[in-house]
Amino acid sequence: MKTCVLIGKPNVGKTLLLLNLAKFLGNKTIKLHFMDADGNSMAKVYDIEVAKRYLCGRQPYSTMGLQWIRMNAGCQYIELVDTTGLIGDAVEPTTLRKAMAQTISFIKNASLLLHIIDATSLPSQPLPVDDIDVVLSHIFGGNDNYVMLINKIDLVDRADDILGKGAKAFNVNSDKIICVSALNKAGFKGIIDYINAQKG
Amino acid sequence: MARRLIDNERVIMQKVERAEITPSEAIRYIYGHDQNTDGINSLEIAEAQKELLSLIGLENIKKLVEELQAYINIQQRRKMEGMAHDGMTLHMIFKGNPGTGKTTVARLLGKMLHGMGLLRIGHTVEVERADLVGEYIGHTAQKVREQVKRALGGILFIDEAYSLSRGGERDFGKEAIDTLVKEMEDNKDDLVAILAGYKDEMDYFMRMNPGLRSRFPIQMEFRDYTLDELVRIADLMFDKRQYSLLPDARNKLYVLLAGKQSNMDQRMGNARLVRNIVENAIRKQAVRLHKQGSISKEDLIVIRKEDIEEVDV
Ligand SMILES: Nc1ncnc2c1ncn2[C@@H]1O[C@H](COP(=O)(O)OP(=O)(O)OP(=O)(O)O)[C@@H](O)[C@H]1O
Ligand SMILES: Nc1nc2c(ncn2[C@@H]2O[C@H](COP(=O)(O)OP(=O)(O)O)[C@@H](O)[C@H]2O)c(=O)[nH]1
Ligand SMILES: [Mg+2]
Ligand SMILES: [Mg+2]
Repeated sequence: MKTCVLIGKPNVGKTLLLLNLAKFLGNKTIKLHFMDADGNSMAKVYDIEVAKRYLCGRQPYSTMGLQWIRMNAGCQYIELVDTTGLIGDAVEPTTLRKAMAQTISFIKNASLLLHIIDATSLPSQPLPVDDIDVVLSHIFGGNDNYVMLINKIDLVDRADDILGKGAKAFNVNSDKIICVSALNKAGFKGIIDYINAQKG
Repeated sequence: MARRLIDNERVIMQKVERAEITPSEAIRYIYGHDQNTDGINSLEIAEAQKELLSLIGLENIKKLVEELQAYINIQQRRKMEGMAHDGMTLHMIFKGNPGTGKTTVARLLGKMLHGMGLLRIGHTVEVERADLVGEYIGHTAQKVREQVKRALGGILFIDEAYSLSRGGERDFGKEAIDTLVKEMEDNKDDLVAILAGYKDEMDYFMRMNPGLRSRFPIQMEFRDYTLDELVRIADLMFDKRQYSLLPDARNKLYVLLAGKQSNMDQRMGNARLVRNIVENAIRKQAVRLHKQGSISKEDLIVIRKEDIEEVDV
């Protein structure tokens, strides 16, 4: 089973993407598995709409740990994993740093890395080299199993060349970028096609 | 590579938790491009480098280690690119008086070579003649093999190596050397041997055993510390232990070390003497404070003139 891992800064829409992708694939309820940074785990069945209300937050760090759903992506079962939002600097409190460490270390289990960027905060200036998105795209951007998802395109001007902007800002090939909206499910077919096209 | 990665990864994760490194750095250390190849751990290399640079003096050694690192790097790169590359024999000779930093540098090299993916564990096993030479035929070979086994994946540091050949015809020292050389061949990729000792004795020893020369291609000479360096080493040692020298205590230490240097065998002392003085001073301070009525936080830190006194090496 492919392990598809959603990573990115806090509040970029990882959790909403997890839940709405499950919905897009025809689920109404889901079995959501959690694991906190100490390794304690549990699973719970949710109605997707209820889960959204519980788990997607306006404030950053609504997710502290790993949470995943197994689902049928058409021609295969996949495991879609939502993670703790990462930022480049050390943050308070310790529990949050620990959760970030858990996510960083979990990356190695990814058969596919889905790196989410917020379309509304695409930089116009070059970012510092220790920006987490710069680091992630620099290290993984060349790998076959990496894709960049620019999320929240419902919020930006259609005329904007989001794809080009993203490719330039993070120096990744534009065929490695998919523009999506976790909210209105734009671009979801592209994500699923990408997942199914990946071997391994 | 798997185990190396897992060990290091745990350390890196702990550092993230303690806010000693940022998530960005952690990702770079674990997944960065060097890492994709031979289990290279840039964090460990950086730490060893930092520690080495923080040592007082030793400028020639620092330069040699940097050159060694560059050489290893390039050979590894060439290997990766499928080009001709040296097999890299990293056995070394360390020449210098006691307490000049030989053991300290050996340990750091272990760490560095581990970080570079050349040693599986990177620990240092320190041995001397008595650990290697036995009392009857066959005993010696067995002892040498035992020590080599302990050191596998790391560094075998043989102090006063020339004492292996000090005995006469009937001595087992030669058997020790022969077994060592054979074991080094057999464990080429999993062991670095360092022969250490006084300069003159080492030079003589190598002349007497010309076969060893090509097997220990790296030579480092540890010079005696200057008086200033010794005092700075003392300051560093106190600082690391969270103590602090008062100026007149430092003066006394200076005078004491100067006296030792002028009338004692140059070959004694050095940093080891300093360490003994430091440790003795810490005990003295404790005794002094113990007799005192109330003790302030300041008192706990300060080392006074009367705490500094002469000690044996
Ligand atoms: N240049 C230096 N700067 C700071 N500290 C040093 C320096 N050189 C040596 N020391 C310290 O002095 C002590 C003696 O160093 P050395 O490496 O010579 O060890 P040694 O005499 O073989 O002692 P041992 O192996 O018993 O620790 C160690 O505690 C070491 O940390
Ligand atoms: N308009 C819009 N809002 C989004 C989109 N994706 C996420 N959000 C909102 O962004 C906020 C953070 O989302 P969440 O999924 O919790 O982000 P996470 O921290 O990355 O898991 C929530 O208020 C979401 O409703 C999107 O595509 N469009
Ligand atoms: Mg979340
Ligand atoms: Mg020593």
